[in-house]
Amino acid sequence: MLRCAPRALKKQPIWVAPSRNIALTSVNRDAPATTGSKAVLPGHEYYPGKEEYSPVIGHREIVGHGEIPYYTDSFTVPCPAIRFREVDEALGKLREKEKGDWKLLSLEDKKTLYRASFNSTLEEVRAPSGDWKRCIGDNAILMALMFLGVSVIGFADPQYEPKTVTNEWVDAQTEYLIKRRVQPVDGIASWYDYENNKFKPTWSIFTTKETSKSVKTLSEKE
Amino acid sequence: MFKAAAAGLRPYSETGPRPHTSLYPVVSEGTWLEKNNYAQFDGWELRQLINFVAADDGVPEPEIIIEVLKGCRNNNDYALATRFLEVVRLKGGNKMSETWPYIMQEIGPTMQELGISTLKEMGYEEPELWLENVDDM
Repeated sequence: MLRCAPRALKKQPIWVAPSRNIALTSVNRDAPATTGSKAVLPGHEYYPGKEEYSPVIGHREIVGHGEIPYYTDSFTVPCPAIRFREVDEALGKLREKEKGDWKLLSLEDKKTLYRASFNSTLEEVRAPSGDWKRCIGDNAILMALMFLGVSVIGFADPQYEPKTVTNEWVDAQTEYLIKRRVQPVDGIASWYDYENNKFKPTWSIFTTKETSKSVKTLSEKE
Repeated sequence: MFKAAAAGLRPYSETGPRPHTSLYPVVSEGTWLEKNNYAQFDGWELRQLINFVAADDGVPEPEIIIEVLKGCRNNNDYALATRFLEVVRLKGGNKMSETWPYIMQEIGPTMQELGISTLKEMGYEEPELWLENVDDM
């Protein structure tokens, strides 16, 4: 049986998820209703949801449906439930102007009205970010570092060289191949003159100063 | 719209009833547009309508666009009108170059009447400002 006495001694309070009504109204319960309202927008001193949601969204105007209003820019939901910018005196004057003839609005007024309601245009939502350049660049830098490491560390220590690259091994290999007469048509046996026991002149392209000595010894042996 | 008929398209108004049509006082007889008087819509319901248009698979007809713009005028909301025009333009998708000039041709007079400037004049056919991506901060 599990012993639960130690836990019973310390009584921890059980965590209860606060319901939305409690969290939102407790902030304004002690304060009267007029503290949150700012009469900066004529005719907008009060709008539904101003008191309840001001700790969540600030002084932004609610203009759409939605239980908890939030702002997003998206092509699938182009008109969110709240405006983007907060209420200001300058914006209040613009709203008064907006109630009149729209032909009297200047282009700047129209743009500020748009940016007051929306953060970015839908074209800006569609615009590419250019992130692929960063991805390719970072990968190129990492690959360069790896190439550097392999070329410097991988080839520095002679311990990491394979033994089949050394001249002794290659000479013994060629001796074996010539004795076996492998590749007589297009390969090594075709470059060796068996009657005179020496390599034909075309073999010189495969030799360096070091290997040519061993070739001489080979031809002398045969 | 002869081009549309040839391509097998049909007008948006003939696609059928929509959820918002049953929520409002409607005229019992009349065309679909007369039943749904978008020009008298509230700002809240206009936004619902525009969100529905964005989700629906089709470009709205000029008559509907005109009614929505008049609704924006009645609600004194200029930003909503430009947003709606952007949505209509982008609903064309790959055929934006064919649908958008036609729609601008049809709604040009009403836009001049109401005083709404076109997207090209506002400069919103291309991105204006650059917004940093949250993932890159």
